Order: sequence, then structure tokens, then C-alpha cells
Amino acid sequence: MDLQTVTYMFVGATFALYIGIAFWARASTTGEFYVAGKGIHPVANGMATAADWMSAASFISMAGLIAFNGYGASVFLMGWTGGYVLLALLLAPYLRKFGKFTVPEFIGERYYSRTARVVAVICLILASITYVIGQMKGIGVAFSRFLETDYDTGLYIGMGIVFIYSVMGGMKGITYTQIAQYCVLIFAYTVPAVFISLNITGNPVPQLGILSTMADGSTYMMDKLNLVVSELGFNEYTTQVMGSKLNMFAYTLTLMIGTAGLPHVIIRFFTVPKVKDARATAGWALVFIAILYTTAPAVGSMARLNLMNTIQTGPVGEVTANLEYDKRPQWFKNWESTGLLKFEDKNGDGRIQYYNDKNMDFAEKADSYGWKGNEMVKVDRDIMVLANPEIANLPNWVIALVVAGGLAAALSTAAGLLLAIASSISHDLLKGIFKPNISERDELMAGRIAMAGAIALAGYFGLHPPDFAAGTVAIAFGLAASSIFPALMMGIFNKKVNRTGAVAGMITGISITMLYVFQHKGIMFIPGTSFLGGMSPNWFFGISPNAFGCIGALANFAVAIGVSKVTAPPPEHIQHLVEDIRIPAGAKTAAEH
Amino acid sequence: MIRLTHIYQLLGKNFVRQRLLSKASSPVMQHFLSKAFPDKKKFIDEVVIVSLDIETTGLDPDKDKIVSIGLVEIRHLGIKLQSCWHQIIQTKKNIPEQSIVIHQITDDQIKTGISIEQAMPLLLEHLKGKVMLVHNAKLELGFINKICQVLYASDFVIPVIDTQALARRSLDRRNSAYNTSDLRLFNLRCARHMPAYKAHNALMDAIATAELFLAMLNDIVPRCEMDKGKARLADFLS
Amino acid sequence: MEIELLEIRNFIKRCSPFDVLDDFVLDTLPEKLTIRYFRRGHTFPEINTQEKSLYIIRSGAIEFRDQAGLLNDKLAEGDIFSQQCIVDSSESGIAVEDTLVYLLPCELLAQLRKNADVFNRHFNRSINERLRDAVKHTHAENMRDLSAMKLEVSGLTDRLPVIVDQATSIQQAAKIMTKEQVSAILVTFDNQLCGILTDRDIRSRCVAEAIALEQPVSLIMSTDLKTVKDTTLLSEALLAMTRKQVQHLPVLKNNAPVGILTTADVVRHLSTSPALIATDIGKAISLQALERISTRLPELQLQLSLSSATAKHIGEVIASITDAITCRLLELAEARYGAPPVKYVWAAGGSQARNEQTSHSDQDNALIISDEFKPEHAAYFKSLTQFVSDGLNACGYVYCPGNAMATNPQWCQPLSVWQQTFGRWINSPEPKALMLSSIFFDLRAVYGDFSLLDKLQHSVLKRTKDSQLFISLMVANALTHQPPLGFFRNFVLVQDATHKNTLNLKQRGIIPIVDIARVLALKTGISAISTVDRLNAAFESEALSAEMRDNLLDALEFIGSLRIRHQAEQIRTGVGVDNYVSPGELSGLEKSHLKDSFAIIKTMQQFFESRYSSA
Repeated sequence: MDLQTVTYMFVGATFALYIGIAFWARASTTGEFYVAGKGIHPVANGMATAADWMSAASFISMAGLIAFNGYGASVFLMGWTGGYVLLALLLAPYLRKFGKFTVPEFIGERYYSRTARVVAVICLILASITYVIGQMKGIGVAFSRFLETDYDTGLYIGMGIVFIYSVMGGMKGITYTQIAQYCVLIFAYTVPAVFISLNITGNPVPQLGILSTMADGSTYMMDKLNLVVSELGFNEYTTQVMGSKLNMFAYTLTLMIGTAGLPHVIIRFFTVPKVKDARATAGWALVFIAILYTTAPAVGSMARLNLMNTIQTGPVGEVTANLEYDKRPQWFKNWESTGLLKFEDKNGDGRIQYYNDKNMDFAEKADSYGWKGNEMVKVDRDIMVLANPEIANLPNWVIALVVAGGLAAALSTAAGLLLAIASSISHDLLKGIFKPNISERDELMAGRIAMAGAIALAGYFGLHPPDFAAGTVAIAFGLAASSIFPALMMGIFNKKVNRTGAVAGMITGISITMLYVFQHKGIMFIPGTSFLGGMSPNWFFGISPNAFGCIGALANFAVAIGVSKVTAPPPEHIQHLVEDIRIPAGAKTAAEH
Repeated sequence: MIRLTHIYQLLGKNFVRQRLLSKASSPVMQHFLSKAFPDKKKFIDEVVIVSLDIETTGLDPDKDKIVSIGLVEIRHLGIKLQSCWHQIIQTKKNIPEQSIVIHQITDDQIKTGISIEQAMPLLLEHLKGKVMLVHNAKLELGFINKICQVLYASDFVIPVIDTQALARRSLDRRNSAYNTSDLRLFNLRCARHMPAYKAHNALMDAIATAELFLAMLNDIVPRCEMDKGKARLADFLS
Repeated sequence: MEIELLEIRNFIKRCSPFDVLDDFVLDTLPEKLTIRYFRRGHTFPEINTQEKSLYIIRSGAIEFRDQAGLLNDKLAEGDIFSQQCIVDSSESGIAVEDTLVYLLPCELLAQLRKNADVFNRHFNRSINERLRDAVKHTHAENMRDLSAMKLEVSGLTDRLPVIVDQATSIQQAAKIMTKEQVSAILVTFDNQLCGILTDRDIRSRCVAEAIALEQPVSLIMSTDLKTVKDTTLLSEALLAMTRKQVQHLPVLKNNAPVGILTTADVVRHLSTSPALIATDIGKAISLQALERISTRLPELQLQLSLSSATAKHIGEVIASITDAITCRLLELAEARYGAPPVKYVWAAGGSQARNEQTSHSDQDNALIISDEFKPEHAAYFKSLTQFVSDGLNACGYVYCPGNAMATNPQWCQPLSVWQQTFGRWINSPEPKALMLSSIFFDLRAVYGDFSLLDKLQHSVLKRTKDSQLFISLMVANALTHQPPLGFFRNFVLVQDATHKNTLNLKQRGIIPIVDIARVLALKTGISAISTVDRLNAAFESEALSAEMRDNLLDALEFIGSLRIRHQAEQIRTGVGVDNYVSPGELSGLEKSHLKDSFAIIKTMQQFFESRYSSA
């Protein structure tokens, strides 16, 4: 059976599985009233949470960034994992105690102001749409490969599918579907990793393989990779950083605190009714997330090694050591047709030279080989995970599995976010501000229209995304980090912050961050409108736009506290409320006896 | 036996009509045949169609008698109940038990009727120059033809639309298997979710047939053509 | 009219408002009709009709949508479309099924309207009241279908009429009336009924006008005589009485008087039955007596449904009887075990609390004891609750399968413990807690110190109002019962062996609305218990739009009335009562309205889902 057929079969089968489970779950809940009463086990719930958590950015994009940025890309691993822990330990318990489980509701109540609530909603919508752009990139990549079209067509088709999937409710809230999605996703991620790890190092566990010697026992795998890339003028794999140390720190911090502001993640902590189960769920989810996150570095580095070895088949400098373009493997052709991989024969020798032509030290050497610049003019990072099994010559079913997993990850997260956006727009903005008397039927319709609008918008930006999927998602986290996170933190831990302060803080934070992102990435991400250019020399203290959220957050804190100092303090009952939610749940009832 | 009229049939009903007119001796028949039938190329909604049903004591025109006649006109594809006509026919013979059950006409009622000799001119007046719509035309044509021969020594002619034939045609065209009971008026109506009439008398059956015909119009002629009003009488004639 | 067209006439007669026309008028209609056929997907009515008509849908369905594609109106079997005749509108719809219609020319309609007031009134109302009409229609159907057997006026008059000749003197007549203890007598002339003499006639036409008592009764009797046949239905007789403003109706059988129907007879039969039962309950001195009385409950429900009471009204009446039984049982228990050591309140739960009970549902109840409660009082309350619960069970309110009863020590607690329990449910709404919530958030005080329950409810509502977590889980719980409507607007029928191919009207129709109303109440802190009150209160506190409130109320009443009718039929035929209705029991019109009702519930559930599962 050819690859295309197998892929169709896998994608079809997994989606049939999700829908089947959804129907089964719907049907079985209408059983007899008195039989209901059993909850879902925390392990199962943990898997569902993990599936919610891992988006296209985690699945498709992260390993690709690790493959090319080496150690520098570990900010994603650290930031997202840290963010999860921060959220689970620092914020979720208090928000839960407060009894409000959406962020705007909390902010509206805590800052006793509808304005604060609306500002929070707008901040969230901005962050969420940016997040969806990232997912759209992943969806476009997956669909273009899956249907063997160019990227733009894949994206259009993906938009349609996302809309249908979202209108159907995205199978959301049905835990068993989420569990199935997690299983498909984690299999799709680890199975190829195991095969590749076996091939390269002889160790079946990728997490260990990355630390072991090569299969022939000659040298450590990491040393080999460092050697291969530095021979071609790239930065040494294990030591390269993204920008400066400060940028790395800012990047990680932004991702961490941004997590806390994104609504679709927080809600998972509340849908478990028992506090004890909620804790166990958070723990298990961390385990399940870790399975993927610890595999990612192995996937990234081994993919890089395989890619280099495919193109550079022998010692650097020998003419015959570079792959002939005509003999390029099938996967190369497949990805060329999506437009995400491009080759340009600059020196006209019919062979592929892939090296770092920006490295001045290496330029001389390259010149002596007769190389006229890097001929791999486009290698989209986001294709790495999907291309990985093909590069490693794994069987067709593994490749199909990965496509199915990628689609599952991208679709479920995008659908969840879009539902949240639709609900925010139709309820918080439309009903809350413009049309308080709107009927339920019209509100539903408005939600669907908002969803279609959000998809169209995200799809439009997805045609020219500001960054790779993970990078785009990082911008979304930056927006959330600069606006929502400080408002939440101060809402819980500082009873003196009042509504004026909070509103001013949120607006300052998100404005600074957006401005910074726009001036480097283009206004509304439109290429060519970036008046400061994407150049790193123009960066503020060398901090990249993706990592700027934490600076915005600092500004937010400063403005909010400053403004609160000079305006009237919050009313008494709000201050009491803030004190109350920090006392553990049991303490109060215990005191009564 | 192949009769000359059968060959004339091929030349069109109006041709047959004129042949018969030239030979007809009875004034009733002459009157009936004097008016031309609608042209076959006319649009279906411009034609006046008379939906007819007769109830009989049995199936054999030679032995059995007509018990009642019911008819209603369709004009501009609307069934005009104002044009309803129902007539009970008195017979000399008593009706067999069996058909009482079917037609719910008892001997008592039949006594209120008129003789077939009186009824026939009225029926022909209703049909004059029009198109006849019948479900399973063979039976009705057989009886009317027989009576015309006996009373007026002439064959009977009229353009006929047969809903049963139309149904068979459309089922054949779709290559779907069916058994003959599917072609019964009641079952065809059921299949279209049309209301089931409890009464089984000639008039209600004529109305039921007319309704069925309206429902079937579009089965016979593709929708798009219908919308342009392009369906012609010829598309429906048996 | 050709007698053969009777079937068409009978159909028209079933269609409101033609049902109010006199038979001889109806007889003239069929031959004025034109029958037309609209194929699925075709525009309705035809765009270029020269002759404007009123359309009666014989079979099939027509949908009217606005520009945005939202469904405005749907016509199905028996509905009429009068736009062309009423306003000069070009409104058009689409036949969504193959549709057969009867056309009545507008000129004819105008004539009919001129000649019949009641008929005319129908056309002055908004067509948007269709579902509301359907609700009424269903009750009218009840009358026709069931009361024909049960409630003809012949069964209501308990004595033969007193008859005098017209030559009898007024004084003599008055003497007879006094002796016979009647308020009206019939007057004959030559053994033919010619008038009626009532107390009022003697007062207003004789005494007030100073007419000599020796004069014959013919001078003061009412001659403009309205009579009814012995087979007339109670409801029709009542209508005749109110319309003609008379209090006495002679009942004729084969043109001979067999009785006089008085307003008192009607009123006694229509509404005092529950009151009588309640009085009997109050007088019952033993459990056996209560048991005996409770066997009359199904009959009461049947009678109520025959008298075209609304489902809401029936639910209230049945609940009030249950309340009375409960109170009496508690009084008996207190008489047996002595006065209570501390104050308590007996609270009913579930459908009884919501005043939506049908005869003989399960018992759900709870006991809330004052905080002065001491452990040694436990024994007293144990015997008290056991007595009442057993008594209810004996009266047909079987034990709750989930053991949500006051006999369960968990649900027989001092106020403070109850407050903690509710607090725990709200803070940590596990599935079990959610299930119990739907029983115990519908509590209504029945007997004892009502302030105890008030305090509890007050504190509970204060907490639920702010607990979004709890509300969202209650919403999820409310969505577990979805209306049985498939993707293509088809009914999804029950598939288990005992109730194959039926619709569970309670679980899939009424419960979802009840759940929705409860969530709205908890969310907005509404203390009302009945679903209708809750929906109205939710509208007032802007948690529900007026449109949705009206729709849900109509849907609740419509489904409720179908269920009541179904149960009435079961009671009548002596089958065990259930909520499983087969679509075959419903007319095309009712099926269509039932689907409308289900669709309304579905929309509301989808709304809840989008608000609470993703926000």
C-alpha cells in the first residue's frame, strides 16, 4: 500500500475513533438517574488534560526548533513546563477557591468593575487569536503534507475542517475523546523516536539514546552532532543559545507566566470537582506531558543529524560528498511540493550544499570548495517532526501515524480556543456591552459567526505567520503574560490594587508588548511594515519580540501598583475577599468547631 | 383481435375522434365527439383534466355493471372540488355481497340512483374535449367502451393519463424492483406520505387519483423543466 | 355537498378555527375548495396566484424563514395560512415536505368571518401564537377523545326534572319548588316543553313586578329555552351556559327532558373534587382511611385532564393533595409519638416540591430540625419519619430508589448540618453531590416550622449565586438528558425491550426544562421552586430572554399536556401509568409541535453548553 493510502486510513480511522467515542459518551450519559455518580479517574483526567495542553506548537513545532536551535530552543521546554507548575501550584487553587473559573469573571469580580472585565476579555481574545494563528500554521503544514498540496491550499482546507470541528463542539468536554487523542498523539510522537533512536544509538529509549554513544560505539551521539554541524559552519549544537543569556531568561519567563493567562488551560483544573482529585489530575498530567517533552530533544537532535547526513554524505569539501539533487529522496520531493522546503542550485553543480553562509569564519573555506552560498534556501522548522520518520526511512504506517497525531494536536487545541473566543465575543462583549437583551438563539448564532470570523482572521495571518508555530504561540503567551498574569497575581496577593490600577496595568502591559512585537515583526504581522526590522541589533537589551512579554508584565505591575497608590483603595469587602481566598479551604470550617 | 381503431390510435386521438365522428349515428356520441381533444403539445397546466373513478360489481365489462361514477376536474394544476360529480347507477341485478364491502354502497342507496342510459350522456358531457385521468385505465376504459358499443354502437375514445402507468414507468426508469401491489392507488399514496382516505367511493378515489397525479407530475418530468413550465400533455399520455 | 366529500369536511372541522363553525356552514365548504400540491423545495404559496386564498395544510409541512435563514414559523397538518387574505403580504415559505393543501378563496373567508364572531376573532390574533394554540388545541382534543366516554352531561344530573303545566299558578309552582328543593322547574304545554321557571324568575318577574300569585307560570317563565342533549359533553354545556348566561340547562333525551343541569352541578364536577378530597384527608383518622382516599388520586388526575385543565394546574392540584396527605400523616404521627421535642420542618423534594406532580410518583423528602436538637431526640424523629414515610408508601408514593427520604439519617439533620452539607456540595460538586443537588435544591416546606427551610434556602442561594464552578457542573449535569431529536429533526426512539419505539416525555422532555430552570434559579439566587416561577423569575433578573422564556414555558406545557393525556388514557384503560409515548399516539400536528418543543430545549442546551463548557 502506498503512503498516501495508509495516511488517509490512519487519519480517517483516528477521527472516526474520536467521533465514535463522542457519540458513545453522549448516548451513555442519558442512562438512569440514580446510576450516575462515579467520577473519572485522575489518571484518565490527567491524560485528557495533557491532550488539551499539547497543541500543534508542542507536537509539530517544538522539536523542529530544537533541531535547528539546539540548546537555545530549550526555553520552550523550560518555559512551558514551568508555566504548568506555576499555574497548578500558584494560581489554580486560589482561583478555584474564589469560585470563578474564567479569568474575566475573576477579574471583573476582584476589581469590582465591568471595564476591568471587558479589558481582560479583549486581552484574552488578542492572545487567543494569536495562539490560533500558531495552530493554523501547524494545521497548514500537516494538511499540505497530508493532501500533498502546497502550504496555502493546505491551510484553506484546514480552515474549513477546523470550522466544522469547532461547530460540532470540537468534541470538547468529552474526556474520553481527549484521552483517545492523547494516546494517538503520544504514540505518534514516541514510536518514530524509538525507531530512530534504535537506528542511531542502538538504545530504544530516546531519552537515553540522546545521551548514549552512536550505534557503532565510536563516539557520543551529541559529540557527533556537534562535529557534523560545526564542520558546516553552524553553531555547536549543545552550546548555541537564542540571542543572549538575558533573552533566554526572558523568553523562558514569558512562556511561564503567559501560561497562567490562557483560559483554555486553567479551566481544566476546575472541571474536576474534588480538590484532591484535581491535585492528582495535575500531577498525572505533568507525567503525561513530560513523556512528550523529554522525547522532544531526542527527536530534534536526531532529526538534525539524519538531515545533515542525508545531504552531506561524506567528508566536507569533497565534491562527491554532497547529495546530487537528482538523487534526492522522495520525502525531499514531497516537501518541496508544499513549498516549505526549497533548493536553489547557486553554484550550478547539481549537488546540494547545506551550510551556514552567514558564518564569516567558514566563508573562506566554503569559497575554496567552490560553494556559492547555502543552497537550502528554505527549510521550514515546522516540517521536521512530520518529515522525521521519512528522513529516517521508517515504514509507511509510522509516517501516517505522525500525520494523524499532528492533526489531532492542532485541531483539538484550535477548536477549544475558538470555542472560548466565540463565547467571549458573543457573551462578554456582545451581550455584556452592546445588546443586553439578545436572545439565547441569537447569542448562539453570534458565537458561530464570531468563530467563523476568528478562523478567517487566524487563517489570513496563517498565510504569512510571524514565526514558526511555536514562535507564534510564544507571542500569544507574551500577550497573555503582559496583561492577564499580573492582574491575576495582584488580584490574589495584593489587596491594595484597585480597579483603576488593574485596568491601566493591563492596557500598559499589552500595549507595550504589542508595540514591540509589531515594530519588529510588522504591524498586524504584515511583512514590510516593521519599522525597526526584525534585526537583533535593534532589540531592547537584546530581548527578542517573542520574549518581550515579561517586560510588558513588569510594566504592568509597576503601572498598576503606582496608579493604585494615588487613587482610592478598593472597597472593604473586596480587601476581605482577597484575604479570605489565601486562607486554606479547610482552615475556616475547622475554626468553626 | 387487431381492430382498425388500434391502428388509428397511432395517428392520435383527435384523428380517431374524427373517424368515429364521421361514422357515429347516435346524437349523444356525435355531441361527445364534436369537440376536439386538447393538443398534445399544450402545457400540462393549460389542459383541463378530468379525474375519474368508477365502482363496479366486478372486473369483467361483459358481465359486471357500473355501480357508481365519481369525477373531479383539475384546472391549472388545482383540483376544483366545485366540479365534483358523483352518480350512483341503478342496476337490475343485486350487487354481490363482496363488493358491498368494498364500495359501501348498499342496495338501498342504489335505488336512489339513475339508470346507466341516463347517466352516460352526463358522463360524456363531463369528458367532452378533455383529458381523462384514471388510476389503472384499463378497467374504466373497458367498461365505458363496452357501454358505448351497446348504447351508441360506437367505440369510445379519449386521451388518457394513467397514474398507474406513470408510476410503473418511473419505477422502471429507476430500475427498482417492485411488486404489483406497490402500484395500487393506496400504496402509491402511502409511499408519498399522502393522507389515507378512509372512504372508498368513486368520488373520493377520483380526488385521491387527482392528488396523486399532482404529486407525480415532477417524477415524470425533470424538475428544471417543470419550473420553466415546459411539461407538455404528451409527456403524460398513455 | 356531495355526501362523499364528508371526509374533507371532517378534516376541515378539525382545523382551528373552522372547528367553531356550525355544521351547516361547514357542509358548504368542501365544494368551494381547490386542492393543490407543493413539492418539497417549492415556494409556498405560488408567486403568481391570481386568486388570493386561505390555505389549509392537509399533509406535509411548510417552513417560513427570515432573510438570515432563521425559522419564523412552521405549518403542518391542520394549520392554516391566511396571510393572503388578512394582510396583503407577499410572505412566502418553502415546502419542506411534499405538501397537500386546500385552498379557500379569500372572498369566501370574508363571508365566513362576517357571519361568525368566534371564527372571526381567530384571525385578529397574531400567528405567532401558534404553539400556544396547540397547547389549547391539545386540551380540546382531550375533551373530544376521552370525555365522550366519561363526561356526558347525562351522568351529572342526579334527579329527574320537576315538570308543571303552563297553566299552574305561580304560587303552586313555588310550593312545588320548595317541596322538591329545586331552584328551577320545567314548564310544558300540551306535554311539550315550552319554558323554564327559576328562583330568579319568581324574584325578578313576579315579586319585583308585583304580579299576582294566582297568575299562570307561563306569564313569568323564560321561554327562550336553551337545551342540551344528554350526550352533550360537559365542557360544551359549560360553554353554552357561560355564553348564554344561564344557570340552568334542561337536558333532553329523545326530545324528552331527563334533568336540569345547573352551574352547581358543573362546578362541583369540575373543580371541587380536589377540594373534597382534601377535606376528606383532613378528616381521616387512620392510615387506612388515607390509603382509601389516595386511591382516588388517579381518577382525580383523569378528571382534571378531561376537564381541560393545564398540565401546570394538574401538577399543582396533585401536589396539594400530596401535601395534605403528608400533613395528615405528620399529625397522626405526632398524635402517636407525642409533641416534637424541638421544632422541625418536613420538606418535600422533587416534583412535589415543584408543584409538578402526577399521581403516584416516588416520595422525595427531608427533615430539617432546629439547632436545639440533642442526640437523645434522634429516636423520636426516627420513629416519626418512619411512620410518615411508610404511610406515604402505603398511599402509593413508593419509597425513593435513591433513598432520598427523611428516614435516611443523612437527610434528617439539624439546620447547621444541612448548611454544611450544602456547602460541601457547592464547594466540591462531585457527581453524587450533583445528583443529590437536583433533588435537594428543590425543597418546599410542607409541615412544621417553615422558617427553618427559609433560612437554609437563603444561605444556600447566597453561595450558589457566586460559585461559578458549581454552576458550570450543574449545567453539565443539566445537559445529560437531551431531547430525543436526531440530526435530521427525526425522533430518536427508546430502544430498550420494554418500551421499544417510544419517546420518554418525562426524562427527555420535561426533566431537561426542569434542570435548565433549576440552574437558572441557582445562578441568579431565585428562591422560587416551581419551574414556571423559576423561568419567569429568571427572565425578570435578566438571566433569560423573553423569547426563550416564552418558548420554554410553551414547550413545558405542551409536553406536559401530552404526558397528562397519555397517562389519562392509561388510567382509563387500567394500565400502569408511565411516561413512554409512542409517536403513533400523536397526530401529525402534535408530532410537529413536539419536535418544535424539543428543538427549543436543544437550542437552550446548546446555549448553556457554549456558555459554560468552553468559557
